[in-house]
Amino acid sequence: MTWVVWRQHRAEGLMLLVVLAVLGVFLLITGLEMANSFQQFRQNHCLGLNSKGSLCDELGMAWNNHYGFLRGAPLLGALPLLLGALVGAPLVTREVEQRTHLLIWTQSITRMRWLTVKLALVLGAGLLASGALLALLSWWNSPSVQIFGDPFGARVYDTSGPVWVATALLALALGMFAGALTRRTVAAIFLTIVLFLAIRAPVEVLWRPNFQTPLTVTYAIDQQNPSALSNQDWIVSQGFIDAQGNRSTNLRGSCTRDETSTRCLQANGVQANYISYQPGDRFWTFQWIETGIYVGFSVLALGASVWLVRRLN
Amino acid sequence: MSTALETTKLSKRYGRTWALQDCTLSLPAGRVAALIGPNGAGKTTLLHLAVGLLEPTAGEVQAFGLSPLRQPGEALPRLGFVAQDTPLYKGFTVAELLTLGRKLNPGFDDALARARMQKLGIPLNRRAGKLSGGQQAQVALVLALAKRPDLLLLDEPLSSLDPLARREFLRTLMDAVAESGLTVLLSSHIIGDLERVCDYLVILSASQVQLAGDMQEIQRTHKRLIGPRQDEAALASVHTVIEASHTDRQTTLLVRTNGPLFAPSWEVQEVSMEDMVLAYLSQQAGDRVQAPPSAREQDGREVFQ
Amino acid sequence: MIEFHLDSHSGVAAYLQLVQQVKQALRLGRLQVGDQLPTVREAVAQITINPNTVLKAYRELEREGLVESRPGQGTFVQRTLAGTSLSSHAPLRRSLVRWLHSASEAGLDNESVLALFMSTFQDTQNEHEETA
Repeated sequence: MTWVVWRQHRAEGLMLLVVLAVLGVFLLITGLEMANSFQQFRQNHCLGLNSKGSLCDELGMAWNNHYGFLRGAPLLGALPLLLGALVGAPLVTREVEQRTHLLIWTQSITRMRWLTVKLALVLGAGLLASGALLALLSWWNSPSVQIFGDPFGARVYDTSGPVWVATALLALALGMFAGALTRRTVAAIFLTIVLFLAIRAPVEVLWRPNFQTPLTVTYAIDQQNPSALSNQDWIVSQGFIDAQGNRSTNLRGSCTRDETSTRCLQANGVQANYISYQPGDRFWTFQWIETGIYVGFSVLALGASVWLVRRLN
Repeated sequence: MSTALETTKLSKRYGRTWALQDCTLSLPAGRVAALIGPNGAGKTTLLHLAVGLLEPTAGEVQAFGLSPLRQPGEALPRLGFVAQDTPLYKGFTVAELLTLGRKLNPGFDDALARARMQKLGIPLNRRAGKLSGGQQAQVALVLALAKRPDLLLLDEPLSSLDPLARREFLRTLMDAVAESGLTVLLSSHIIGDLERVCDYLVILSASQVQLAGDMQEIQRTHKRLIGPRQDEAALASVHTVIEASHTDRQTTLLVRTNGPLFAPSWEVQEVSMEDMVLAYLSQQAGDRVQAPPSAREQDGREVFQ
Repeated sequence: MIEFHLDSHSGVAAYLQLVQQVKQALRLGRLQVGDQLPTVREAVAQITINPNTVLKAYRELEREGLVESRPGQGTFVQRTLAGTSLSSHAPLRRSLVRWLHSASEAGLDNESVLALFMSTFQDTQNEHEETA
């Protein structure tokens, strides 16, 4: 059965390898360049939020100009989705659309064995591929994270930890479920994308900022930046506190041009500023929580797929 | 003699529609059986149930005493199946399809399969999608035969083949039957091709079995009676009237005799298989042929052994 | 070796056609004593037919004592029908010719002659069956 699955999906397997190779080469070349540039930063003591000196600013601007493509890196997050939609979904649909399930389910193999071998091999391949890519991506991300911080930003967060592998697993599981449900390739691809976004978006936007209760730091109106935060921390929300202790992110009124900001704020009843944040050392905890969430959904999707294939008429 | 395929009140429903109702059959081993019926009669449903692709809504199906759904590990190796339009993995070469057979079936006779392909002139390194329709059908058949099944089920294998391909397909099939004595059940909506090849007949119409039995026995007991215009009630009290037509001077009856026929005022003729099958199929849905009380079996099933 | 053929539309049962073809071959001398009949697989390769039909035909021939099946070897001709060739029934032939002339003089056309012959033949057969 293993040979059959390989032979059947030989084309996709090779395509995956090609994509991995191309991506790998790109990451390797650019990553080495960034690692070199990073040495300059370190030698000139430019790391940290409060780095001083125009040289550091120059180096920072040069970096942004040179590695501007990094801004497009969040597109990497689309890779797991593509994997799920283009590899996971056709797993069942292609078999049914071409009616070859009538051939293969009447060989001496049981339907369950057919499914489990297919699932195991495809999930295994997906996990291996994403795991290999993860190692490369973490190394690739690390210079820019150390310089600019922001590890909780989408570019870094999604591609530097177990969440990356978990999203690949989720996409594949959803793809298989969509395929088993719709039994038509186009509909399944569509449904995979919809389900994936329907899970990822709320988790990322609503749930992730609150995996653990954020810490809060308050500081006086006329202070610029509280020294408690570094660029490794994640600012979840910030704004004003009035005398009663209520928080708001907007002013009730507005400030006129001549008033200084301090007086304007006081006129609006603001007593202090606050910042709500997740400290950087919670990064790995958050990664594992989110991984658990996606693994949970994956298990549900896979269970549903198995049940659907059993009932397939 | 063992029973190759046994169904007991087998039924399958999709939503509100019954695809198959109360199907009770007992196919003896070693026969080549024809399953005849119009499109939508339930032939594919019956075959899919027999091979474990579908779960029955009611009733039971067993092949050699094994349930293909509940005991697939034991039943499937003994069953061969060729689905309608002989689906194959079009991207696989013929050799790779044989490898598939070998990997997924214990007891797959690879040497036999290769020998047959060679005899048929089918190149092993050609992709299945590039073969002609007749060759694809042969490949699907050889794949199923190489499994060494005891019961082979085929869903309308001849429908999309030209006459030459049909004859070659049947020749391969008959050779396999001669060699191994396997039981065959093949469905079709035309009887013509199958008369010389089948010795057992099942007529399925409107999702119900209209007739099932030994072909020769069926031929022996079905007669056409032509006589002066009259009511058929006298005959109908003893024999089963399948079809009756009257003109102003003449009455023509197609009867299934139950016992010796004594009808001196009638001209008795043999009935061709085709006419007989058509007579059964032109019954309206739900209007099953009613045998006279004396001839009916206990459970209402008309069977010829 | 004899080669079979099958006429699907003759109305005659398939196995009977095979029996008749073997008997015809015996009459005409195309099959001699000791000749082997086609194996079931060879017959099936010649005419696409149910193997059981071939077996049935051979059993019928064996019942009539014309052939003998030897397990593991095949089916062989045991007795010939050449002695009953048509040429050895000259007297019967002559009386038939006389009858046909009488029928034609009586004004019967071809179909009537055949109908008369067939109905008389069938009646005689029925009589034979009843007395047998």
